Amino acid sequence: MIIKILRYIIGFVTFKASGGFCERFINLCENENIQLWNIENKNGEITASTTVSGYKRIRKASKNSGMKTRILKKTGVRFIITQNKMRSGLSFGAIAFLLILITLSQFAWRIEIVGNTEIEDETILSVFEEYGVKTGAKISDLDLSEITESVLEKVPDISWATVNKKGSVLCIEVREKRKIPELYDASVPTNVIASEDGLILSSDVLRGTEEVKVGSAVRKGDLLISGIVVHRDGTEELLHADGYVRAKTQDNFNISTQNLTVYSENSQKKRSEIFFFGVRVPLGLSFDGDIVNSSVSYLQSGDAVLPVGLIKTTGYTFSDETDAPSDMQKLICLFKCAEHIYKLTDNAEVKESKITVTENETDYSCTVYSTCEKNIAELKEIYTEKTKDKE
Amino acid sequence: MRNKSKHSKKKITPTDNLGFSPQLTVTGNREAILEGCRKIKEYDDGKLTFSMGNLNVCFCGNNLIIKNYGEDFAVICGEFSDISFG
Repeated sequence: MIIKILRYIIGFVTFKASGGFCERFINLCENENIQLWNIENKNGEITASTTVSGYKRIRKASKNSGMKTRILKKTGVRFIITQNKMRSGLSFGAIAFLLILITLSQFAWRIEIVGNTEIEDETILSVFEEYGVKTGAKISDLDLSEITESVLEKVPDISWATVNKKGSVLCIEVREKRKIPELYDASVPTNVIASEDGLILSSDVLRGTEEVKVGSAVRKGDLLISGIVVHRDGTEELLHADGYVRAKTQDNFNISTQNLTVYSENSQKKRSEIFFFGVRVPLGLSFDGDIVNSSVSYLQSGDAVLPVGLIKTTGYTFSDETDAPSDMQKLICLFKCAEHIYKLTDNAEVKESKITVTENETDYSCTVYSTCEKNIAELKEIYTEKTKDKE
Repeated sequence: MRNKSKHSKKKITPTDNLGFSPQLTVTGNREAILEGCRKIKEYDDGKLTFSMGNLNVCFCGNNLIIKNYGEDFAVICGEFSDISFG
């Protein structure tokens, strides 16, 4: 393949030779160091390819073998240039194309981030941007090993990072630190108390003395598992009590439109910007808004995303709503209730949820009554005071 | 006395200098690489014979093309029906 490309760049001639001894002709060419390839014999006529300089020296071999040669085709860059000598624009275009290609290949077209699960792309990208790793940055100016070291010092949640160059794409590869589970100090004596009101369903004591039975009701703060163990000889020992106490609990949540501030949209302004290799060219005047929302659409060629695109920014300004509860406010109330139930499922099993809605002219109120099953065990340290033994 | 042309001098190939025998590598019936060949003895539509010193290698078949021909090697392509040594 490389040889084919080289031959194309240098240029070669395909010729036909006929009328003599083809074997002798080929052997003479070989002796004269005239390189021949793709030699084909058909009915005493041979077709072959050779270099331009080789064809210029072929006369002697053809004369000695009685062959007559005739050029069939000239192939290669040099012939294209010769043919288009008068078309200067074409040459300029080709040179300009090469120059643009070489220039653009020196810049980072795209930044990719791989390996992160907890830390967001934007966070990593913003830190790397501080050190110059961004779309449109000149790759040769970046000291990537030094940058990664600085980033590792700045972001403690990343244990390892590297920036790989894949052509014009900079691929940031990161590994996040594994979170070490919190270790409790077993030497500290603790009790287990109820974190909220509930009905005990099951109790699993790991250490300590069980203080409540299954089926009993407890209030928030009641002792569930005691860290004080009394031995048969009457001596007492303080332990780090621990356990799992599952209880049926009731959760109430109320939200009203009176304590909910809803803003109505007052005005909306839009502005577009052209994004070209990290440079933003605004196509309008800047503006302020209560909420500014931006969306970027990049130019794509197949799977490759080009660093050229359009940024559309929309700014919204809002005014306070003071009238009677609107449909939007009611909807937000219901949404907040649903969100609360969803949050409950993080650490509890929600058995039943009921939403009660009360509405009058000035107010719209929603109350959620949820029955959950959850672990209500909460560790509470037993404060002790050390005293010197009397001799 | 007739002078011998320089082309008729015996060509010494690297394989001669190293004392190796000529080598022939055949891939299927489509391609053959010949190392240590000296000259082409016969080349027509269906037959191609190489001289390899004391040995002649003859390829018979269709569409016989010499893909590359160098100082002591040749790459032959085509549909070989027979390869004989003489």
